[in-house]
Formats: sequence, C-alpha cells, structure tokens
Amino acid sequence: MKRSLYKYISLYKEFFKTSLTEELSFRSNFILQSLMNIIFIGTYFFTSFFIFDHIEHIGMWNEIEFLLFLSFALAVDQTHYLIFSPNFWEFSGDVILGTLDFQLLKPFPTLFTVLFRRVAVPGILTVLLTYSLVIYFGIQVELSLLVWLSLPLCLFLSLFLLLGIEVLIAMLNFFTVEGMGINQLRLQVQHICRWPDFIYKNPARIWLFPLLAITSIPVRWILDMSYWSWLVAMFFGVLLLWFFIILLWPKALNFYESPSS
Amino acid sequence: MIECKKLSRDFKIYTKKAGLAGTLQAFFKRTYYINQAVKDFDLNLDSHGLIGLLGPNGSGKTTLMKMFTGIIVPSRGTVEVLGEVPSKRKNSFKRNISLVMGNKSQVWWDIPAMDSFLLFQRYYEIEEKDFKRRVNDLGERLNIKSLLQVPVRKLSLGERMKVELMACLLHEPKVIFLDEPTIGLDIASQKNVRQFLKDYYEEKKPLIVLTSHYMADVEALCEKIILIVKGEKRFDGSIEGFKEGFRKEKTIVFNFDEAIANFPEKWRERFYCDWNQDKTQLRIRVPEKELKSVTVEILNQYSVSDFHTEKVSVEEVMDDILSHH
Repeated sequence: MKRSLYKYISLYKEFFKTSLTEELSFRSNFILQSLMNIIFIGTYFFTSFFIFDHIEHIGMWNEIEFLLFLSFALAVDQTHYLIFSPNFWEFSGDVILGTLDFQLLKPFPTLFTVLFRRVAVPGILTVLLTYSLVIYFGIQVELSLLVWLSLPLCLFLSLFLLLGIEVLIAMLNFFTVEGMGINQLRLQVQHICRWPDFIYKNPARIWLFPLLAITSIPVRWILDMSYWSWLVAMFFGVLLLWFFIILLWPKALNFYESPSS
Repeated sequence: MIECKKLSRDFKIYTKKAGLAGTLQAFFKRTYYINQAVKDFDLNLDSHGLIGLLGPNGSGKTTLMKMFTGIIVPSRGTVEVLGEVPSKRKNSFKRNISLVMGNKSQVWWDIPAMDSFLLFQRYYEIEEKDFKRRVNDLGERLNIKSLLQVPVRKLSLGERMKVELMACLLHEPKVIFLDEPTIGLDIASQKNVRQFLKDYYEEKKPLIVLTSHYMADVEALCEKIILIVKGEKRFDGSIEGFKEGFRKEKTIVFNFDEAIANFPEKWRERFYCDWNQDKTQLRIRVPEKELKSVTVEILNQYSVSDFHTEKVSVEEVMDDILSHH
C-alpha cells in the first residue's frame, strides 16, 4: 500500500515537473494566463461588491457570508483548473486524434494518467489567492474550530463531486468523437456550481441539484453546522459516484476506436 | 508469445453524400457500413524474432497491432500476448510491451526529450542507474545524445523518430511493435534506424513486429513475413518462401553493345520489360522454366556485352500483389 502510494506520488511529482518545464518554456503565455486567472477572480468579486452596494442580503446570506461562499466556490474552481482542467481538454483531443493510445499503454490505471498528467501551473497563484480569501472571510464570520478542521474535507468533496460529474460527461467523447460540445457542457456545469442553490427555483433547482450541491452543501455546513447531515449525504454520494465511475470507465474505454492520425 | 485465433475487428463507418443536401440528410439519417478491418486472423509467434507485417494501405496491419497491444478490443476471436489478454490492460502486461507509431508521437512536443524520458522512468519504475545507463547507451547508438536537451519540436523528422525509438526501449520491453518506424525518413535516416534495430535485436533478442511500406526495411531486418490483405492473412513464413510462393520468376539483366531499336513485340506482351533511357540495358522478368530459352534467344539475336540474373525483390512481389488487389 505504502509502496503503491509512493509510486503514484512520484509519478505525479514528475507530471508536475514536466508541466512546469513546458509552461515556463513560454514566458509570455505563462504571465498572460496567470493575469487572466486573477482578472477572472476579480470580475466575480467586483460584481458582488456592486450588487451589495444596492442590497443587504442575497437569500439568507449577508455580504461577508456570500463572499465566503464565493471564495469557496472559486477555490474549488481554481483547484480544478490547476489539477484537472487541461487534462479534460487534452483527453478530447486524444480521442479524436488517437493519441490516447499512449496512455493506454502506460503501466498505470488510465483514469489516473488521463486525469492527472498535466498541471495548469499558472493556476498556482490563483489557488493561493482563493484559499487566502476563504481564510480571510472565514475569520470575518468567526468559524468554529470544527468547521476550520473540516475545510479540507469540504474542498475535497466539492472537487471530487465536480470531477466525477465531469468524468461522466467526458466519457461521452468515446461516442460523440467531436469533443467541443462535451467541453462546452463541462464549462456550463462549472458555471452553474459557482452560484448558491437557492437562486434557482423549482423545477430547475431539483434537476440541477447535483451540480448546485457541489459548492452549496459544504458552504451551508460551513455557515450553519445544523446542515451536517447534508454533508454526510454528500460524502456518500461522492463515494457512490466514484464507485460507478470506476466500474464504467473500463467499459467506456472499450468503445475507443483509436483513429490513425 | 503472441497467439491469436479467429481474431476479427469490425468498424462501423459513417458515410455521407457530398454537398449541403447530403450533409442535411446525414444529420437526420445516418448511413453506415461495417468495415471488417481484420478477419479470422490466426497467428502463432515465438518469444523472439524480427517479424515483418506486410500489406497495402488499409489492409489491417495497424488494427492488428492495436489489438496485440490492447489499445482496441477485438470484435471476435481471441488473442494472447505474453500469456495475457491484451484488452484486459493489466499493468504487468503493459510493462513488457512497447509500441512506436511513425505517425504519432508519445514524447512531449514542447520540452526536451530528456524531460519526457524522466517521466517514462517513473511510469516504468526504472532504477536510476539502469535509466542512466540505458539513456547513455541508446543515445550513443542512435547518435542523438547531444539532442536530448533540445525541445522535440526543434528536431528533424529523423531525429524525432530516433527519440521515439529511445522512449519505447527505455524499459527494455519483451515485445516491441513498430508501426511504420521509417515513414517519411530520408534514405540515410532509414538506414540508420534499420541498423540500430538490427543491432538492438542481436543484443537483446526481443520479439519485434514491424510494419513498413519500405520493403528495404523488411528485407534488411525481418526473418519472417506475415502478409495481410483486406484483413485476411495471405502468407506466414520466411522471406524466401514469400518470394517463391508468390512468383516463380526471375529477372535477367542484359547490357547491349549498342541501343536496341526494335525489340520483338511478342516478348513485350508476355514479359515485364524495363529499358534504361538509352535502350542499352534491359531488365526482363521471365518464368523460371523459360529462363534458359529466353536468354539463349536474346544472346543469339543481339550483341550482348554482359548479362546476369537477379533475385526477385520483396518489393517486386508486393507490387504484383498490390496490382492484383
């Protein structure tokens, strides 16, 4: 077990180093991407500041509580961007061009190499920025020690629920061949989960619940511990989702036709 | 080492009529046909050897290799490589095989090859000292040691192919699949790659299965040939057997003292004749049983300065096969 974990960590370290080497080869692109990520975060916050200049509350949350929600949503988003986002784009290209062949030949589970092989290194700055914002607004709303301790778990659950839903969507690449529509769908999923569940009304709220849950359930727990049962349900939901993904992934791979470039 | 029985693979291919009307029609109602890329393929290969997998474009060579490596799953039939079913994609199996594709790259494009190799070291858990030794050894043999620090996109096609070969050999696989490893290379690079593969095989004795459009690759390297045409196996045996099996003909080369203006029509109709530009040299392919009579007749009729017979090349045999399909 220990040796197996070491194998994965040492491969991931090499993925990170290789991505860093590649990203730093193009200095202007690196700086531009880092800057765009900061602007992306900024637009969300400036829009919120503008809204709270005119109103006191959004739903049940005041300005600080809402900004904590927003910081958490963006922390999930930027962590996803850093670790997973480039891999989904690459995966679509691999299925179309047939370069997924080489991932299938590597002596590691394909799901691992497909999801982790590239790191969007410019995302490091914004990940640090959004984590700092979560801590800052957490201090403002005076979170309890238990909630502080549960923050990594909350982030993990949000990230892996989002990731699981995206993996299910990405599996459609094997059937649709062209991946642009699928990637657009993934981007909409990311967009929806950046807003609180209560801004949607039924029936949209019911249908979109798995997506809305990604950020809303952990933040509901962070701001009000009486939502603990929602968090527990989310934990089991994520486990169940990944159980299905691990079952489905090898079957989906069998539909891969490996086009010759 | 490789054993397959009745191995088949079908692909569902979508077709559409040209033009806007065809596009709209295909949007609402698709038409497909089933392409049987490989049909009932039987094969049994030993644990080492240099095997040439030959066939025209679209004959199913690459599909076969992809089934042997577990990239795609067979539609019917069974296949075992190193005692494992490739499509189960077990890590223990993947650790012992390798695939090079002439038209696809597995090294990272924008960074030096050495950085990709470091990644492969982790994938295959190669010990540091073994890794250094292999990089050094393969780099020297392929004469690309000094290029390992250069971004791959800055390398020439030949250099990139050598890098791909290095990447596939770092973990010393027991079975190596090479799909068109010399495609697009100039003559000198082709020779280099060929020589390298020959030396590597002599030293390590793996099983190498090679596809190539260049018959020179196959003639120079392979001990055994498997011919696949339209997804079906047409030949499985030695190179000599391949030539014999497909044509009982020989090429006679005549050099004449002077240009030959009138060569009998009857021979041009019956035999393949290839003249040089100034009509002083003739290459004529004749059935073995007529070799003597044709030679005597030409010697009697023309002033021949020199003549000799040549073995039929694999390329000529392939030309014949392709012209009949």
